Amino acid sequence: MRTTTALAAGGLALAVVLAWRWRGAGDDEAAPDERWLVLTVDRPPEEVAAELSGLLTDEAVEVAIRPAPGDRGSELAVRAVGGTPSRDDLRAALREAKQLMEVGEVLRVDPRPAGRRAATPMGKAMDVATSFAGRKGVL
Amino acid sequence: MKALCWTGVNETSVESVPDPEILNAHDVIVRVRLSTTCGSDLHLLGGYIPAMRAGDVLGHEFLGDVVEVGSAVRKHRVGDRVVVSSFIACGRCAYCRRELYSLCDNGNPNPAITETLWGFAPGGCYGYSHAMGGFAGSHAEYIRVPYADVGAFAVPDGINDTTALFASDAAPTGWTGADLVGIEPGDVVAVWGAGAVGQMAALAARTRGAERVIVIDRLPERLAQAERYVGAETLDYSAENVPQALRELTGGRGPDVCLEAVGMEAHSAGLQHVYDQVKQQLRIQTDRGAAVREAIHSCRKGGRVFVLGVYVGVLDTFPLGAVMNKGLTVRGAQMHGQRYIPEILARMERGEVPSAHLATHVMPLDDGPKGYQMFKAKEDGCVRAVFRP
Repeated sequence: MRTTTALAAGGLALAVVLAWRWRGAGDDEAAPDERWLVLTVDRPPEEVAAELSGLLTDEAVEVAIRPAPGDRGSELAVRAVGGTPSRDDLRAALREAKQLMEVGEVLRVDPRPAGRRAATPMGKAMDVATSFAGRKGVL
Repeated sequence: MKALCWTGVNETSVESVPDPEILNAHDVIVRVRLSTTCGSDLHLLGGYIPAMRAGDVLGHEFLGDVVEVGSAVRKHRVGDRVVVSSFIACGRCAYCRRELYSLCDNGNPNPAITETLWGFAPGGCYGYSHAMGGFAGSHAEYIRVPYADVGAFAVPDGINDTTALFASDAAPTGWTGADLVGIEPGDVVAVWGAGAVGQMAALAARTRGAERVIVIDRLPERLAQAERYVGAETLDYSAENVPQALRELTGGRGPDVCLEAVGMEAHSAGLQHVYDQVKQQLRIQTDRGAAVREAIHSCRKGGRVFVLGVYVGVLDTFPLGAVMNKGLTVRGAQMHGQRYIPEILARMERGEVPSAHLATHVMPLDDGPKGYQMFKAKEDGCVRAVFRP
């Protein structure tokens, strides 16, 4: 019982930390369009530019591509011009574009085999966390 | 199908769950022959990694037969007997191209959790919490293997299942540490932990030219295995002052290389253990650091320390002063299985990687909850409980 209580406290603390950091890192209202979302794609800039035209075509999205140093491919930066799409949507699209350009497909995990999902506060917190886990983060 | 699920702190059960499906073109489905417990599972089991959801299927170290193949798979066919790297890596990103597979950019569909905790997300891992992607584990009749051409390896006919099983995680974890730490011929290597990973790290150190290998643990059956199968010298930390004994064994210098294969639930003697236990239970620190502290303290000036044990967050009283003033190199990694499994399988085929002895308790998957209990309590000399679905 003591361990269970400690776990619940630990899990709650984790959820609070994640929520706080996610808000700070990616909240649409707190930081609209100010910072670029950037990641590195392990493909040459010309190939990234060619493939990107079919992936991130929203006119409201500003895109910048530059060579990454040290044979690391291309640095791909995006930001919304007028507040939409949201940074979360943009971040998810950017990650997917990288996977498509590097691997050719977006890795899926659902549906996955699982046993009975007991309805517990910790379980609920984890469900919430995983529902955002592909769209939030520090990217 | 049947699967062993985590249902709560120190609780597991065998449940009926849906079969896995091919979700990506690079997937295969594997019918599991053997799947083993791992010391790092105990952190999940005990609730020390709070990213588990009741119902999650455990297990990340396994081998089996390919029964279904995605449309983009080129290397494998139905019927292949394969051992699979526990870490999931795309093979195409910059990290994978540099053979740092567990750092894969594309293998974790839940990057926000570990990006937030650690700054960047490593790759995914089977059955290892939603922080590592939320993939279903291998303690099941079937498992989906993404990026199969990269992570699954055909097992040569000359290697039996029980030996090959440990090419999935324990052996490549040991190889990762011994290779990346940069062992030089003539080095004296000390290994903390005589479990499967510690023994494999000690063995790998030999392959990289270590002149002497000293393995530290408190469990006599594990120390006996390290002596018998690795040819290591051993120290029982419950009976000896380890730093003092290491100085004596190394001419007063200390080991050139220290490999820590214990992790966040390290045991130690006396007040240090009480201090770490209290702080961990109160969630003031996430990890207990007795082994890594001792490795840093014992290492010679200018030596190298590699952290192979799994840690999740923050550790109090980390001896940073020793790191700086002794000029140590400290490094860590999850294992880069895809980099080392081919070498390990080749060595297994030549009989150079004894590992079947690690499977001290082989049992049906139905006995999984009992197996984890035995493994956690180290009952009956249990080094690894292995499940046969």
